[in-house]
Amino acid sequence: MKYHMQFSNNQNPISEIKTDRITLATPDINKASLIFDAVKASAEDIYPWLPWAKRDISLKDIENYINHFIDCNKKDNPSNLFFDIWDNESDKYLGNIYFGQIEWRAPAFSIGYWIDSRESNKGYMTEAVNALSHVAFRHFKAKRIEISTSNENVSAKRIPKKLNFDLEAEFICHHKNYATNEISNTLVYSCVDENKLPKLINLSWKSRSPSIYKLKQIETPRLLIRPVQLGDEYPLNKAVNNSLELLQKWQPWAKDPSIEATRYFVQRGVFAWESGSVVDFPMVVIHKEDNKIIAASGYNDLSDVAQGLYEVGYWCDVDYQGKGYVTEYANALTRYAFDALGAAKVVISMQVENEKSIAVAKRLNFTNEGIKDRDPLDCASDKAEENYIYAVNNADNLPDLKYSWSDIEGNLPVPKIISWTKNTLKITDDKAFGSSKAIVKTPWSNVLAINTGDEIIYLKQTPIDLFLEAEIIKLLCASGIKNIPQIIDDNKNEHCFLMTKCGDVTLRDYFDGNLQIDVLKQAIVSYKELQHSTVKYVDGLLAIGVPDWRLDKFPGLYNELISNADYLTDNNVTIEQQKQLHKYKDRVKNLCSELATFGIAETLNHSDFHDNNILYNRTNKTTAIIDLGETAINHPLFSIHACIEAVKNRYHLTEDSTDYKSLQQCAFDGFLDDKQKFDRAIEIITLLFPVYLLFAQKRFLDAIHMPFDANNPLSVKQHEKINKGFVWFIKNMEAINAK
Amino acid sequence: MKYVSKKVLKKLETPRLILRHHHNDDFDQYLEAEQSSAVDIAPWFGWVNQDRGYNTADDIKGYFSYLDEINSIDKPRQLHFFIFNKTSNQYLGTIIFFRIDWDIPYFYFSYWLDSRQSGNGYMTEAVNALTRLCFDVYGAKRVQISASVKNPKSLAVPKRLNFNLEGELRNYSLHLSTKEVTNSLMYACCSLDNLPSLECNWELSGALK
Repeated sequence: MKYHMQFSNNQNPISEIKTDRITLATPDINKASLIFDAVKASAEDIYPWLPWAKRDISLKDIENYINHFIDCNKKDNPSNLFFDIWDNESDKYLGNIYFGQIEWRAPAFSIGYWIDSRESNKGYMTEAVNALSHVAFRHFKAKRIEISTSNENVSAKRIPKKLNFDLEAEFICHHKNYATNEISNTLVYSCVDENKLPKLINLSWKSRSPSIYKLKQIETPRLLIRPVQLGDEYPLNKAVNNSLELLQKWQPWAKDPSIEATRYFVQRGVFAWESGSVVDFPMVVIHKEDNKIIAASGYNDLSDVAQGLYEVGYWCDVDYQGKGYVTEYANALTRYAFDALGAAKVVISMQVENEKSIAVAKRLNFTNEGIKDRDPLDCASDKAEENYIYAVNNADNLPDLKYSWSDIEGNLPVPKIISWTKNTLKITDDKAFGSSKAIVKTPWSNVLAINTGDEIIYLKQTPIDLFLEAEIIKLLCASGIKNIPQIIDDNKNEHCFLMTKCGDVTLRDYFDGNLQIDVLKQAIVSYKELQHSTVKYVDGLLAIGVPDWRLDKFPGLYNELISNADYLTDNNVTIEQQKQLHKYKDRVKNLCSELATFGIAETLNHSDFHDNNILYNRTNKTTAIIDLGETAINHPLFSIHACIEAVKNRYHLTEDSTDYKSLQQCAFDGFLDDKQKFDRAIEIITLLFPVYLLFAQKRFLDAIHMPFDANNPLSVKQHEKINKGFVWFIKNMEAINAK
Repeated sequence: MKYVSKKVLKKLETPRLILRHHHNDDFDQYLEAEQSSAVDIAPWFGWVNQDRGYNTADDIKGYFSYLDEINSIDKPRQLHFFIFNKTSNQYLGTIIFFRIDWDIPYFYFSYWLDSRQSGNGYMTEAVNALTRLCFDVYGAKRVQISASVKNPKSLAVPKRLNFNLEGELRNYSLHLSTKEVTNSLMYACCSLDNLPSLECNWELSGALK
């Protein structure tokens, strides 16, 4: 059990607090001169109580303080949290306020502050202290807020009085006036009940990467509850369809039980979790005993993180009903909201006729707060239906439940690239990306479909060593190559880039198992055009770092690969096989030389060219090539051959079928007029093909830094490909020997 | 009064006690006493390892080197004094000035006593002596002590010494074992006038090492 679980509070530092008139923001070094100006103007008033505000304070001093504040705010369980106060309307700097002497375990806070003398007596500081106090109670579950001030500091002591803080004690001889060196008494005011504070309407706050985004999973005796992940689509869809009759009665979303709808739910959910900028938290519930997904739940979009409000939605696969699973996971989610997220309130709502759902709320001892009309619409009548609102304000009356949760280790990289995207696209609304999706999420790369409301833009994060992709696309675009994405902007530090949408769906998804040969042929033709027009930019591509696997380099690269005995042994290539590979050195060299005599120009090759790296635009019926990071300069027939082979296997084409033959003809058309020579070229490509794949695989695994690791299934799978490649190549060579 | 803190205490003697800064030789005695009293002190002191419920020899080695460090600087943020039985030389407990404002100056005391030694008035005698030291040597304007209302043994000390009760601070302290937040009473002494008389002698060394 984690240390912080023992204390029910939320230790996620606040990054911004807003009221009608003012904003409290994390200190910003770029504002140093404004702050310097305010301190200078106010030194007379604040120096007696704040000795750092000496008359000869320099801009450099202010910068040092700001940097210190920033460092402080960044700490886990910081003992101080600092905010600068800004006027919403004029953007004027007003002063500074901070939580000091924070005792997180209580938690208890003291608040300190100073205001620019030119802005005093306008109630700004009272508003700031009030806002900070409300946030301390609501976000951090404060038990005590203290303000202590000298009894001679007339303006400072007015504030706790106005905010109905209670005077608890006068500490005799406890305060020093640094201007006069006189000792005065300290008045200790405190507030232990938020209801005593004057109400503040339109108070909102943001916390810096709330801990919910770090959630890995919640565990109860029988269940695991975790954020949705790519890959949940099929098992979840199965549970939905299994329970369709019941779901369609109460859940409007169940009207569409297709796999596409579930995929959208999952992809959107993954984005919501990763980006930290969308406000619902979809999770799946896994039955531990058989490892099956039995429900989707989490906190829905009626939750309001800023207000500490979390609404739990629930349902359950019919095969698992009647065993208390829903009660179990709703209980855990409610507890997690209070224990980890500092929730003020957890809500469950359901239609007034939904007795099963009401029974769950009752079993959890939620209080019925009455009836509200709200979306969603009633499934049968399509009219707004009456809903009960059940709620609790703490976890005290929940039935006992043994539960725990764990967090993802380390930093979450995605929120950074999302904030970069927002800056680049000049988007400020937090919820702007609400219907964005995560398309690809592997340990090495992320592709997010950002829905800005006006358009879809793709955000891709690559491994650092494959960030070349952005450069390649830019160079190709500049050279007038069509049918590839366009780069909007790129970010080298986060090795990510934004690109335009250039299709609606991958060809593989578009085919959905049924190959449409003409569409594929169209894609191959456009790929060949890309290859053809790139011939003259080869030098430029090599210059930006695209690997050079051309025929004159190929034998050398082969020798290098097979001379790395450790690499071969790690990938289970036997000593006997290694000897064979060495024997074929000369043959590789001869085959390359022979292939070169045919004079086909070498150019850009997509090392992973197949129907899943081709996008289809349903409107224009055009195709585009994506994933240009894994490209190299070599013989163009390698990637074309790869594509045909992949398609042949995936769609079960036989070599004498009409489709296969027409595909081949289309693919190989235009390279060589001499049929005999061309057949020989294809033969050589086929023989060397496994070596080409081995180059590509080695480069890929080097780029993602994935050495062999028997405990990592992904690594095992990727490394098996290497062994297969060597075995395949040996087989090819042995076939020649047999001839 | 300038550089008051440079007067470093070598030894403070009361009728029954000797108070002084730590020596490395105290280690074994200290370890034994702290571990024997861990159950009683852990609820109130965050420096006791809360998961284990007591500190190990390694923890205490760390504590001793921390003490070496604060004793070597001018105007340290904290000062720690060990209490010994004058006749047996046995270690009895520690008084910690855990917050010091040298500008005023004021001193915020906390303390703990070996559980096996309680009930003899040792702590009252030791706090009395150090309060006198604060005023007479360090120029204190104020010595303050607060303790949870759930910790009557600790509260008895300032009461017996006629400190003034300045107020009840709500939700001010945390019982670290039960996680219960409790109120505290703040006691302060702003002059030696009301302090019960006590014969005490101190030896000071001139300045810091």
